[in-house]
Amino acid sequence: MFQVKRFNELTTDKLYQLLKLRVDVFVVEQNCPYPEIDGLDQDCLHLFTEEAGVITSYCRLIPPGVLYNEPSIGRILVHPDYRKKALGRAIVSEAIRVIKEAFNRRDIKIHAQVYLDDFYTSFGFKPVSDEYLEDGILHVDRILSEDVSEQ
Amino acid sequence: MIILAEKKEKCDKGMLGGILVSWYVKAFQDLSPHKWYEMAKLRSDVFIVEQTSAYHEFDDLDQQSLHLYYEDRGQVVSYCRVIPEGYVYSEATISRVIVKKSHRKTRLGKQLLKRAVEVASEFNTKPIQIQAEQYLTAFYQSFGFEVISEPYLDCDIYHVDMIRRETDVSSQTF
Repeated sequence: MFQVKRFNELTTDKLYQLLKLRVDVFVVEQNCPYPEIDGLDQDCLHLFTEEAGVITSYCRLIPPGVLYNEPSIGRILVHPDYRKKALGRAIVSEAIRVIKEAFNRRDIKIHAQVYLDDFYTSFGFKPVSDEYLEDGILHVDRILSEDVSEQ
Repeated sequence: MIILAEKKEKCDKGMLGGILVSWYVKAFQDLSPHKWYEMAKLRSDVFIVEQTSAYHEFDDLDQQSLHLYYEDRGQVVSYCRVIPEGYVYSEATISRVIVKKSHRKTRLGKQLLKRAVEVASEFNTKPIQIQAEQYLTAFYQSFGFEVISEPYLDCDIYHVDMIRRETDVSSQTF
């Protein structure tokens, strides 16, 4: 069901699909002309689900020390045609599990969009910053700490 | 230009001021994920970020395109794609024409277009149609393209359609 790939394990075709979907969601749908392709992907694990050749959900897992001292989850998306099926909840749960396994870390820091406060709170992510605007979108930093993730 | 027939790739290497520089023409299938990522990042940095345009940069035409690019010390600094006839227009087309910020004002754009016209027209035997950003009309005219539409807005940027008919470009100066 879930696939996890290092950058080097992606084919050029699969990478195209992933980057296209990210630009379609984070640039076009969110109307935000920002550097979506930021040069961090070569260091990341890429977690996704696929149905009949369509990437239905995706996120990247950023190792500790690359973006924050803690590992991070970024570019979390569900394909527009596959929303309202709890795929977002499923991929975030899987991301937390894979991070523990792959990076041997239980703490995770994310850069969350504020409109998803309830969603991230339900996983135990706690706000650790004030809300701030980035690329015109309100964000807040959140941390899932070791003790919470063990519950 | 060296043609690597077995890989359907073209490569033209040379030295410029002691630095290895190379022109490449590659089909999508012959690009490594790393090289594709570099091109995708350059395209996103220029057409989305620099031009502040939240549009569908990746349109699924790349898999059918030839990717023409110039490397300076292993880094892609100039790029465009050549789309064969029948996908966007009945003619072949050239798009996503880029010179990286660090390499502008070095006439690299002219070299890029000259090579792109050669690739797209299969050495002047076929016409090429393009959707040009209007402020570059004179640039494209210098390669033999003629304006064939009124200016129009696409993604908030003025464009004109241009065509380069079956002409011999060899007498022109670049």
